[in-house]
Amino acid sequence: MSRALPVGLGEVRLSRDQSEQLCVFGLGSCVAVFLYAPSVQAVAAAHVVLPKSPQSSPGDGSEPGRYADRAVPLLIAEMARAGVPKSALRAAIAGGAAVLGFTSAIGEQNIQAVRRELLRLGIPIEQEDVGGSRGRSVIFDAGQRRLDVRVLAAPNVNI
Amino acid sequence: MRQGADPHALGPVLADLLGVPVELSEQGRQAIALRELPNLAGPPEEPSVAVYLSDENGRGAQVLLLFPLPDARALGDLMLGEGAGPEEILDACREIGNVIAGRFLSDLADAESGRLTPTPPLSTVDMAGAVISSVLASSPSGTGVVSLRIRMHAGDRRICATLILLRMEAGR
Repeated sequence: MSRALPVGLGEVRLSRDQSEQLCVFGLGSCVAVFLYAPSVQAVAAAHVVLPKSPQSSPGDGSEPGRYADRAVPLLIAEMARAGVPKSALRAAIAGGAAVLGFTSAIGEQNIQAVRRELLRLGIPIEQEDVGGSRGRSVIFDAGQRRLDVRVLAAPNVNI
Repeated sequence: MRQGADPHALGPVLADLLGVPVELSEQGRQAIALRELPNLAGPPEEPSVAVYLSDENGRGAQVLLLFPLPDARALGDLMLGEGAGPEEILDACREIGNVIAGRFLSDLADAESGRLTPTPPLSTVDMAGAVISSVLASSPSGTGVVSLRIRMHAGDRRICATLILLRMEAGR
């Protein structure tokens, strides 16, 4: 049976166990980023909250995945520590919804920032489920290297 | 951070709206770390009706009220009778949420000798964690958070909600 590893706001996690699933529950305007490689069990995940880190603040290191421009390089470093070269990496991303309407700008900015960083660092996006107006829960199966996305079922959405 | 209204004072206002005696109480009023927020209203995937108000003048005060779906349905039944449709239930939550959240914003303004003008309420049905984290992401850096559990005893029904008050800390 798979073991679920939740990835909280601003967190970065690495899994080297194919029986594990990296999970981001209740994702709104945030974007979940997963890096993996074919035939390799390691998977790294970040729960990105905002697109760009403030220039003035280096952060206290407690939320290394909070900003897209810091999270993606950090994920690459985590995978390198696990022995996976950057050239082998693939990405899966999900989230960036406009849940209450007014958050549309943040969600879209997060999506674009993550895409831009991945492009800049030469990592192709293989799996993607972004945008829209509904929250998601996202599960990445380390063994299958597959992204699964859950949204509220229709009876709940319709109350 | 100042924490806004006394829920007990809202009882008579809501009783007028609902047509039954209402007693409000709060549990667990607490200042919390931002990263703990998505789990505040239960599991992040909990289907909930969310009602959101902020200050029209952009002074950084926001109130988010979350009703778990069974509580939202109970509120709809109470206001509109059994068998209310989804849109009617959403309207009921928006109306009650507007009263509660608006009162918190108003009392916060009084406490700070300032003026806050609530925006019209936004509402949605979604995962609680998705709504909370989206509001959080849209909040300026330096925002303080206070959360309360609100219990409404309306007639023979008990309806629970989580209220989250976000406010820019003074001096920011």
